[in-house]
Amino acid sequence: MATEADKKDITEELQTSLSNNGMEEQVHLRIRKRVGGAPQINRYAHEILDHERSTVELKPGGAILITPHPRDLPGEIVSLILHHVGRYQPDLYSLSLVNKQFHAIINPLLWEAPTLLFEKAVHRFASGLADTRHETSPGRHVAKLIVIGEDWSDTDLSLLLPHVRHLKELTIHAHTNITEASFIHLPRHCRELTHVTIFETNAINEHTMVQLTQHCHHLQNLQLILCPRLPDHTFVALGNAVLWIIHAIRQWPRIKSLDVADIPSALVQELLSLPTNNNHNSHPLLEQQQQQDQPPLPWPHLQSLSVGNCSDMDNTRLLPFLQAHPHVSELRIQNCGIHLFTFDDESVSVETMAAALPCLTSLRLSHNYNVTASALRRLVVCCPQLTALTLYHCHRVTAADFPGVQEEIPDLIEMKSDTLERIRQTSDVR
Amino acid sequence: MSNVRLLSSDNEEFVVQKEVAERSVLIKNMLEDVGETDSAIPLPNVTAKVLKKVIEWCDHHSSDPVTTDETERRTTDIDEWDQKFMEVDQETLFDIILAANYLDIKPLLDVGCKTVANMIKGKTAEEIRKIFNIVNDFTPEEEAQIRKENEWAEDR
Repeated sequence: MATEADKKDITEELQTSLSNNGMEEQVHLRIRKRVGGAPQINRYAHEILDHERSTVELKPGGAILITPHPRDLPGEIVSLILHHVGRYQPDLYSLSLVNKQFHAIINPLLWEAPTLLFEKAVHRFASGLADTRHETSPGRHVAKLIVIGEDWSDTDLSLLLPHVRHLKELTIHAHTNITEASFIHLPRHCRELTHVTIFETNAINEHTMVQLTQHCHHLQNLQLILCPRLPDHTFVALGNAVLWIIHAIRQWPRIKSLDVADIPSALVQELLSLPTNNNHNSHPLLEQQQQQDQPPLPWPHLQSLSVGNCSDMDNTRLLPFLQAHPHVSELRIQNCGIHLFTFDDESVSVETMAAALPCLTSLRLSHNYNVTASALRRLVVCCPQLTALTLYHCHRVTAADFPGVQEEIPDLIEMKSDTLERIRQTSDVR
Repeated sequence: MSNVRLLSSDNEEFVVQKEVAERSVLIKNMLEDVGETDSAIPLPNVTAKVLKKVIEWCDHHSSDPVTTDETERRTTDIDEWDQKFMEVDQETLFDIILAANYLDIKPLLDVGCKTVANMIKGKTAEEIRKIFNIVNDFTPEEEAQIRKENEWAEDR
């Protein structure tokens, strides 16, 4: 009776012969008599012959003469072709099943950033991983994961977390069924996380924040957007817990992007206040952290800042933060009360604010109803590197306020570098 | 403008403008190494039929800027002329790819690979095996395991 090992032997022999002898040479292969009669092996041999039909000759005595077909391509070219196929998952799925070489190239691409849009896909993904051994699990390829939809449950997350230890970027959208019960294990399993974005979910609480600070030292970007468990149990009280959260976030000196839109105004104020107030670090969760040195600045690499829905914020509060973070190049201010970036009260001049933003290339202002055209024009002049200015619902500014360029900006939403340069040239506010 | 003589593997000679021939990094380096020469450059891995196609491509693209940005080169779509150029039988297509690889003409190699990649899209594993003349070397158990692991990605 033929065995799987016999079948494997024949395949390997064929493959070895094909790869060793090059395209111009012919390969001789003799099927052993002991497997020749077995129906299973016959079927397998026919399968091979079917693939090779145009290039295979069967000789008397059981010898098979194979001329490698000109369509055989070197491995590096196959690899190049496969990388051009794109990332459409069903295509990658088919390619992963072609042969071992394709599987080795494709599987890391397929698993790198899985898109799981259907309930069936979510459960198959999680349960499929649960059945694999950790060391060979394809979950090791997962670098980016977007968790979206009600199909995600604690069971799914708990099943997959031990397998995705190289996860770098995680986004959890609203309305999943993931809770803190599974989410708290994330930092322990995924220590290479660099980006975490969480929208409107109960999954994160202060204990998870503790875990994040303890395990995820590579974190660069943390976005917490409408996370009710944080304000309910930590921020709203404005006690030590709030200060601890601020402290915890400051433990990640590598953070390049800070988005504090849609979290309580008081927390935004605390986050942006300088320097860190160590006198408040008496929260019990902080005991392990207290010994650690604070970096000289909270985030020396900060390049992107987004502040939103902070009615108490004004220029005098924002200015010291920006002065301490001179690498900020992208600034987004959304619905921040009546004073921020209005310069109406002149407590901070436009020129002082601009001097605090030497690298500013992109400024997005939305729902800042008192921003004035004259202040913006002065800012554009004082920030020569500014190449993108976006205004949504800034009703005090109209295209007519920018004579000479108003035809280029009829809706006054996006101003690109050309328009900004024209504004600089036509302004007399230097 | 000076010309270069190229000799195919089946001994057919082609006279090509130097600028056109230098789309091939291999030929460009050869010319830099040997300097001005009247001898034909032998290309033992490229037949006359394929070399003629490659020269046609190099001639059409002789004034293209050289793109060093790998990502840009790989992500741009195939332009209309190249699509038409690549409307050849599969064997010739693979031969052009092999020649582009040997002659080190990366943009042509990319166009060839993208064309084959487009042929693969939407195909089943079995259909892809036929295109590439590939034997399925998985054991039934291995194949079943991969099907199960990757099942989440199957639905179109």
